[in-house]
Amino acid sequence: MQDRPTTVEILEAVHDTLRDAVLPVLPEERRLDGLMIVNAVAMVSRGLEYAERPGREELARLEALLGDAPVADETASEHEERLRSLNQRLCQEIRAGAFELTGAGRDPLYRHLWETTLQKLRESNPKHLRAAGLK
Amino acid sequence: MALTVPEAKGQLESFLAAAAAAERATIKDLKLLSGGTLQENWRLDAVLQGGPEKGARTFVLRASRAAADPLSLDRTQEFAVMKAAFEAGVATPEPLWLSDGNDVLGRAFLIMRHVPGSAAAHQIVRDEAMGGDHNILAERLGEELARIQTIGPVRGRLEFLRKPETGAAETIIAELRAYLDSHTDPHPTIEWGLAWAQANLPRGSDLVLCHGDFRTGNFMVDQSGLTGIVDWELASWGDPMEDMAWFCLKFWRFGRWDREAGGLSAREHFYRGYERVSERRVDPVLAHYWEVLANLRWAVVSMRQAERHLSGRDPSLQLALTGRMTAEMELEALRLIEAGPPRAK
Repeated sequence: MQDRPTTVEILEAVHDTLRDAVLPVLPEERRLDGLMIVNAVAMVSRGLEYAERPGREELARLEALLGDAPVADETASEHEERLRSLNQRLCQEIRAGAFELTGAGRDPLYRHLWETTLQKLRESNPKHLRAAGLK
Repeated sequence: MALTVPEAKGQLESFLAAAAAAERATIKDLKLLSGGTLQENWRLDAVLQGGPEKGARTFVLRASRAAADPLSLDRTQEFAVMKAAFEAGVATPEPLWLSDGNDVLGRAFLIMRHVPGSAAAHQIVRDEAMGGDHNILAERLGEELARIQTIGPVRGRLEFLRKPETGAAETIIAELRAYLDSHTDPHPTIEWGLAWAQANLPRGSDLVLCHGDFRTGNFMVDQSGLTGIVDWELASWGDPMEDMAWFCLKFWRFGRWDREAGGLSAREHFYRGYERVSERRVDPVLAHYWEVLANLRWAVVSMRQAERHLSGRDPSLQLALTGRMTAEMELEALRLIEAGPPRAK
């Protein structure tokens, strides 16, 4: 068992040190790089904290949308592969016009796309969601 | 062999003297203003002896950098577009001279007259001292957009510009689908947005000159107002609504989301300026449609930019992080589609 701090805890310390100790003393021409680095480190922390849970939820929604049965005892990489292939199938079916674009009939797909996009933003840019009044 | 601009000072002086029909040109100062991956802009303070430009002059030199991007105009093409815009009365720096050979810098460049001011988007939207009254600035930009659109694809004019073969919207949808097909990862939200766009194709319009990146960040202001529209390398022929929708994209409001026209003002000011100069009226249903499409285009551009980093062509943290912005445009496209166009009054 690895010792504390955990990966995420280290990243949090890295983030705070960069933001509070390094960013303020960077020369002007490196300031943008510094801001991006601090931002990127926070993004990576959030990604590690969310881990594989959003992917599993997304896969469950895709199974429901596409009428696929869930698969028991998948390894992480099998799960990744299935997430990719169901998404590819979803794209093909959308392109082929299998989904309604108006009316209540479009709700299930819309809700899935909306939630998937929200989750991507929770990890990549939660500030954007807050500014939009979303979570 | 390509030289940096400072390395080529002597050659540039010779070029300037010849181009400006001066006996002699002396460059007093060279300053890098901005450098993207595809081109760089330098401020050039020179003294010219004799000729129509005699005296102390300030120019901007815009030189090509890395290998050409197929979606970007080269300097010769950009020069032609700038000239057409300038001659049509658009507020844009006067393009003066073009060097399309490699004999001066080892790469193509153009020289334009320097205009005062700043294009710093984040500052402009937050500071009323930049650009004067922002409602008036937005109105002025609407007028300028209408002026750009007085340029249409008549024979012999700017023939190198990309031109949609079928409808402008259809062509864009097809291009975006082609890019999605070539990508390793599936993007169902963009796919769905494109299906909506395909099903709601607007009536076509005469093609006009499109700036291609008409937004806050690509025009310069000083404390009294607009000083010039810049960066024409993405110009093409297209629908009049393309540039209009791009200008109002949430992403280009630089945080001032409440000011839907470029982070500057409510749309009505921008539209009013446009309608004053143009024969066209802004149809809110069309505006809504093209804004959905603009979000989808920008989503795909963000994927392309990430790809430039990931492929190793252009390693850059900024490009990499741009790939993580795609979801912002996807969310906005979904939101706009669900909300529908504003109700007619």
